[in-house]
Amino acid sequence: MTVVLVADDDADIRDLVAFKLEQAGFEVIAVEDGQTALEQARSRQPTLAVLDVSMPGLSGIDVCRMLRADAATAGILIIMLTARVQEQDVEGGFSAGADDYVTKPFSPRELVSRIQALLSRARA
Amino acid sequence: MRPAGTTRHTAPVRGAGTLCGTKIAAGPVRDGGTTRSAGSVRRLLVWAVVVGAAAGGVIAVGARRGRIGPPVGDASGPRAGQAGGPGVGDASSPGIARAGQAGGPRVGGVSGRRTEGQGGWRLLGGAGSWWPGGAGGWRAAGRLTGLRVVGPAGGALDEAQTDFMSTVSHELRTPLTSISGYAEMLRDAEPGELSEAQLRMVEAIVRNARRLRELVEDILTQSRIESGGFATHPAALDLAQLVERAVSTLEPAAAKASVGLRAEVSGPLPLRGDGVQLDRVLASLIGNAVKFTPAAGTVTVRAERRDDQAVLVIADTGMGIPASEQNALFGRFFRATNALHHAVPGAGLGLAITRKIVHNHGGTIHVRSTENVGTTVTVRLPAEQPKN
Repeated sequence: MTVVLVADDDADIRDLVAFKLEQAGFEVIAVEDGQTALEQARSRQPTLAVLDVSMPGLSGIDVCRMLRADAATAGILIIMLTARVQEQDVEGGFSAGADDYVTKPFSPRELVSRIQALLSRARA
Repeated sequence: MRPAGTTRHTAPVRGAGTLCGTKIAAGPVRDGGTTRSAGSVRRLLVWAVVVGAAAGGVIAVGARRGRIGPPVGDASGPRAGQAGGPGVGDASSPGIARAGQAGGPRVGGVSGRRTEGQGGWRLLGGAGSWWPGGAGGWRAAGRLTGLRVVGPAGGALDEAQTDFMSTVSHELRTPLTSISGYAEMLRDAEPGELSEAQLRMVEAIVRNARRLRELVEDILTQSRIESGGFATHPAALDLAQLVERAVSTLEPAAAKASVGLRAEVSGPLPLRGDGVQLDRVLASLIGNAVKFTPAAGTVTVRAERRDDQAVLVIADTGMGIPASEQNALFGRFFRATNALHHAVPGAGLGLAITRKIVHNHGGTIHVRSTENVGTTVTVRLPAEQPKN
């Protein structure tokens, strides 16, 4: 089973995404902050990570940058989740190395499609 | 009822940056001796209050849910909770009040309704107004809009403003994500099948979550416009192409409502403008025309060049706007009584934003309408010379 890491400080959104992903057949590691996300990414080596941009402490963008900077985790596919919709937020995500970007509120089905698309592109 | 001596002030106060007509500066907020970082301050965001700038300084009143905290920054300003300071007001008062000129604080605000929390003011993102109270102090009423600020006036503030909008955006969208996300999963029977009645109810939740989302977008745009953070990025455009694209995007919705929609464009119509914003204008005006036209009606969109102007005319055979209400049409939140009567959904924010965009482009917008006959909206924009 493909392992997906989900990091969001909002419990409801975290559960929502986890439920949806498990339904779609993924194994999910759900964490509530950036530091734990980094630790789990290093130890569990997920294929893909869904990171909320605005978490207290280490933001999703910080985590993304740090994952890319570490050879052990640089290959993890990364999708950023955010409610912030200024241009600089989008650019910030991509320049930190994210592979895709979803704005809240998002349809859970759409998120799963994007994840599946990323995964199949990566396999190809 | 407005207390005597209140000055109505409708133009935003210009300065290094403004929010609701109030000069602001960014920095860590000192709240009664405690310095709060920008991050923790952001958390309190919707509950905070901004008051105007005294000469050379900024007064900010930090607030927590249900309480007004002491003002920070300029110690010479009125203190919350003290006699004459921001506190209990008597009546709600629309408009922006301005202090007496001699070195008094200038304040910003817009209209709102007074709400009282636990023993103090319940502060919500939104608006309030201040006016001079007795003994040189201030009285306040209504819901007050906030942004914590500190430091000498003239400091960096675009960041503070953008940060404010960005945080409001986040605060509003986060719960919306859960509402629509869970509702959609229920609707799609993911945790299990629903009964007919349950399904209909869930669909109502999904629909209204979507409406709420659109409202949030509009309100945020409107706030950005008002605070001057709505930048225009001009480029060379062809209005003819924009119109054709807008019409083809709206054709499915028009067909569904059995409203005939057609474009009569004589292009090209080169002009300089912000494509994203003009798209928004077209979507709003054409969308409105379709929305307010009953089945079997028509909407015609004409775009042509007249002298040095690109002229856009959107004519519909819809319900029209009552003559008595036409002047108020571009006000924020305006909803015509016949639209309300016919339960046409919408927050009424689109036209205010539309007009702002048209004016930003150096253009004009006029509306002619007859109830039950139709409405014609004419937008004129300065055109560029076509390149030969």
